[in-house]
Amino acid sequence: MNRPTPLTLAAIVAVLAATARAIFFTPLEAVQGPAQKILYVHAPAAWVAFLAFGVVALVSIVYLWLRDDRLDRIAESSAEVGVVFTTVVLITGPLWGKPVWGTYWTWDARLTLTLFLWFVYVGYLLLRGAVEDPAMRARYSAVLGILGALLIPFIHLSVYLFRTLHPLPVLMKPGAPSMPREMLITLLAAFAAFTLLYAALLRTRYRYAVERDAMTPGGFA
Amino acid sequence: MPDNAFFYYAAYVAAAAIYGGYALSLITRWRAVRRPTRTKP
Repeated sequence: MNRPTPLTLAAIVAVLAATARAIFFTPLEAVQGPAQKILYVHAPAAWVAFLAFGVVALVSIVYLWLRDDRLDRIAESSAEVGVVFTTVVLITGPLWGKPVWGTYWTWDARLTLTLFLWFVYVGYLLLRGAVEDPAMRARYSAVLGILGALLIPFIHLSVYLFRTLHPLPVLMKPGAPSMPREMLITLLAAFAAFTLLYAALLRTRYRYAVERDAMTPGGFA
Repeated sequence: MPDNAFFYYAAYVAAAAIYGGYALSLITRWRAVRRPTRTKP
């Protein structure tokens, strides 16, 4: 592996800085206590997961039009990084839910659809490993990548459409953010830092895919 | 204020482990791709 790029170093510094701000310089919330600070890893991970799968859908649409292998590699890379961020969402969410809701998990719309999204993109990665012909693999996975992303608006709107324990959005909603200024700055910093981390991981994963395919034409993920 | 710091620490440790583990897996796979394949003499 090559030396870390400026983007990777910037992402590492940004994530460490945002995490330090969340831990040491952001006040505790009076009602939820320390567990509320899980927000600063949970919400940015959810945003990045949606972004990553949105990128998968977008480049997959263009792939089906242009049939450019680079687009397939971007989709493959973004899906893998998206699964990592969704895993963080699915682990940190229950750890926040237990002290606040009294349960790790409930089968409501938001949680269930997020788990389903994770399964869809794990399936996407498994599909890529199961089809040998590169053109067929790219075409099948592009279709699955597009269909999977259709879940994203349902997940975002599920807290409005169904009865759920999950709170309403504090940022991505009509009107002003509903949280104190210090917490809001930390949350925005975390969103920016983890978006940068996504960009760095996507770039690294894409470069790996390029090198893998150069060494083993039609190589597997 | 409730004393639930365990969950907060656990979430941060879990997130760090997942991101760190993924970065490590990328490095490992990249090295495996670059490693020259052995051929029988």
